Amino acid sequence: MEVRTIRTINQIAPTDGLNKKLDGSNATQFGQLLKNALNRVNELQIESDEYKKLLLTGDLDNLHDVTIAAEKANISLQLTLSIRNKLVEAYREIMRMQI
Amino acid sequence: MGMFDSINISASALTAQKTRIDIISKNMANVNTTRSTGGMPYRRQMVVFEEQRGPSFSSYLEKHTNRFNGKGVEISEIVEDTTPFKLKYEPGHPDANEDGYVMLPNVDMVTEMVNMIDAQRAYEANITAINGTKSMLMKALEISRR
Repeated sequence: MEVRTIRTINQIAPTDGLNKKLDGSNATQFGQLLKNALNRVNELQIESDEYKKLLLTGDLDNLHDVTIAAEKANISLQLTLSIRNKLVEAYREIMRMQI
Repeated sequence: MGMFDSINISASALTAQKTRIDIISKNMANVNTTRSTGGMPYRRQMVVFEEQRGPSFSSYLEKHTNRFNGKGVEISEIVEDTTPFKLKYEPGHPDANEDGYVMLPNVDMVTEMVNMIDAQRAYEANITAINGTKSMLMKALEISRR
């Protein structure tokens, strides 16, 4: 029976990347990411508003477009809210930390 | 694949079935119409569905890299049914020919009713699919919620 050599730990878990320092560009990337996500949520809200306007003026072709647009806006807003709650919670957790 | 793609696909199906209902209503409304284009009776219309695709090259590429492809359904065209008109003996009718027969549209009321039920049920099925997607997304938001 062939006995395989045990691999060194470095091959399994490379540690090179852990020592890299975070540079400033990552922070702006996160901000940009958040901004883009919020913009997309806002776009869905605007789309929902446009459909509602069409419904009220009677120019609407398909009723389901309104309900679907409203649903999409609702779900994305709820997702945004829950992410915001998570962020605030994490911030509070850090502020409560005993030093 | 985006978060709302399945909802968009179901929405395209809803629009398609809605158009189908529109055409069926048109057929049923014109079941006795003897004067249509070219002096002929009304011809029954049908919708043809087609799978929605993106630009051809990228869809080909996606198909061969096993990525998700296809964006739902769309109306390809609205065609006329070429089956012959029905003849009815009614000599007093202004559109009757010299033998006293009137050409009536090739619309069969029973077929239209059955197609309408089919379209209605397909619409409902897609709404159920949308609700399923929605409840999945809402459940995903409940992960680790206290």
